[in-house]
Amino acid sequence: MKASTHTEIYRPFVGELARGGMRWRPLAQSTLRSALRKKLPLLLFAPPAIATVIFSFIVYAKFAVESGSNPMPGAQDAGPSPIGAIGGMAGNLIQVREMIVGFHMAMDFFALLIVAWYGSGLIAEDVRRKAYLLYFARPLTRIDYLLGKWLPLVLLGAGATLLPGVVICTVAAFASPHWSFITEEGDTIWKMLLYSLVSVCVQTSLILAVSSLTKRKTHALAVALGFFALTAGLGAMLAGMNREPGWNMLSVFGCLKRIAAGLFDLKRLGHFRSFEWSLSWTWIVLGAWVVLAWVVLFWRTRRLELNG
Amino acid sequence: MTSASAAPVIEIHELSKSYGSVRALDKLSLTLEGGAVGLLGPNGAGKTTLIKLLLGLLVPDSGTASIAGSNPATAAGRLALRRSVGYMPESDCLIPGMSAIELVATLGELSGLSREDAMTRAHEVLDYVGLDESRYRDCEQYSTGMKQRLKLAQALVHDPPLLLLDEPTNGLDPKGRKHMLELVADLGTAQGKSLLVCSHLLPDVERTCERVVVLKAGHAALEGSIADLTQRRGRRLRANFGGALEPLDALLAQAGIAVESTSGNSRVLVLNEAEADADSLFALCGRAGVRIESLSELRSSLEQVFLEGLSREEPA
Repeated sequence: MKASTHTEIYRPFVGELARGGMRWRPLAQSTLRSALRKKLPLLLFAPPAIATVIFSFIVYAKFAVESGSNPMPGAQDAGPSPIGAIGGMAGNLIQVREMIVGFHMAMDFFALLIVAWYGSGLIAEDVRRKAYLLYFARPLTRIDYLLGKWLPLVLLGAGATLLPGVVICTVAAFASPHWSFITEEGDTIWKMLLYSLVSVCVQTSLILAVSSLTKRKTHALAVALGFFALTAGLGAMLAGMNREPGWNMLSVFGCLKRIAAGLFDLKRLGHFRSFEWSLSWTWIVLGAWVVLAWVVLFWRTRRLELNG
Repeated sequence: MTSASAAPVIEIHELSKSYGSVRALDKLSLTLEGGAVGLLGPNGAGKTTLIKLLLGLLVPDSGTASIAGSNPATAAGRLALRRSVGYMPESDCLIPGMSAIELVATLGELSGLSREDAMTRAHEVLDYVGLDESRYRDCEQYSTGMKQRLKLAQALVHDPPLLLLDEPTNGLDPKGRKHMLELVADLGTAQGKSLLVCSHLLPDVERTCERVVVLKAGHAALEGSIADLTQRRGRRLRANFGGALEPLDALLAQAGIAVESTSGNSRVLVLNEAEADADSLFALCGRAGVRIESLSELRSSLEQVFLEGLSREEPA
């Protein structure tokens, strides 16, 4: 026998509907909940998490060696500590600033994977399933809709760059003797925050724009990853052929590296031996990509709302 | 059926919409009052286009519309009308990876409910449509009937006074269809909602609506209350007679009472407006020496009205 409590009685709503307000918030919350519901893709966060632990320890070891203490107190009776040796080497060879930049360069790749995976279906699947009809049959503006899709993606991308950066900087601040990391390298923290935000905002905007142009998540994923790979390859090829490093501005990651080098005052970074192209132009090119992405997003969302 | 309201809920003036060379709506003008209205028409008649135009999900080529006092052509009007309208689309359009309760509550919040109210309302409307035990299941696992009921629930979550239902019984089995029609009929009568039910299934509209608009090639071919339209063809009676019927048939022909169909001693008779009380029928039977064993009134089916409306020539 079916045990049921439902009565199928309609109860009118007593109260008032809010006018205005942040309608993007419930959409963003539900987008984030839906994204995190499947467990397997969460493995994409494993490499940044592992890297964060390793880098945090290296930073801790560097400062511990500098201050003359053993970074592994439990191992002091077991002879010469290999960890201590590594820490000493790190302390001698690696500057924390460069470590953080290098870490972020590496994490950009994982951030791209995370943003591409979670973001490629956000608008494409709405279009394929016509779910936008449910959204736009409600008092939801196009900006609300876009913010409700974009902000969760920024949050997920920040999980691979911003959050690890904050953790590493926090470890560095607490481990450094007399708070020297904050007093001497304090600008690294805000530069790291700025770079992470720029990186995540650029990637999420482009991925979301690609998602709005396709009708399937798989198509959007392929196009998005292809776009980043193609621009990087094309930029590197033209720079090599013309012996003009400025062609690297074609690449989104090339632009991000140039901005990182400019922000952190580095002469070389990764496979880029020199940054002899204009930082101002790099900002302009990167800004143009973002503007283009948002123009596409507004155009496509307008079509969804008014050409449903 | 009782009307929810006598005030015009939807006013359309010379509304036109084309898709390329295809004219979906052609200078359509309508005024619909509250209550349950059926929007009938063959495929491609412009039913879904009209609903989307009313919601502001399409931009008209020309003409104006007003729904719930708001103009869907302006951004402010769209936001205002979407607060007071619930829309049940024809296509599945459910958001993957969400349970029914989460979907309805989220859409309730987007309509302007607080988080707590949205959750309470979501439970209430899912109870109402009979999805009480399945509310925590992923809606991707739902059957067609459950999806239809879920779409109705999301349209109801903010308790709008006007519901636009696009093919609510689409793809349902007889049991599911019966349940859906009961819900729609209850919303139109007991709950006092104004309904615009878009369907190509005439019995569904006949059962749930009091008025009907028949769309044909983008314009209204027929409009009015179902009761009036089905009476328009004259009063129809089914009579079973006792005795020899030849004299009666002759007298009926003389009196101008048409015999629509004949089966043994049974006749379906069509009385004109002047014969509304059927007294003349009794008089003719007396003269012919025939007794009336049973007499029942028949209504013209909506299908007949619908086909008549579609077969009418367009005005020059």
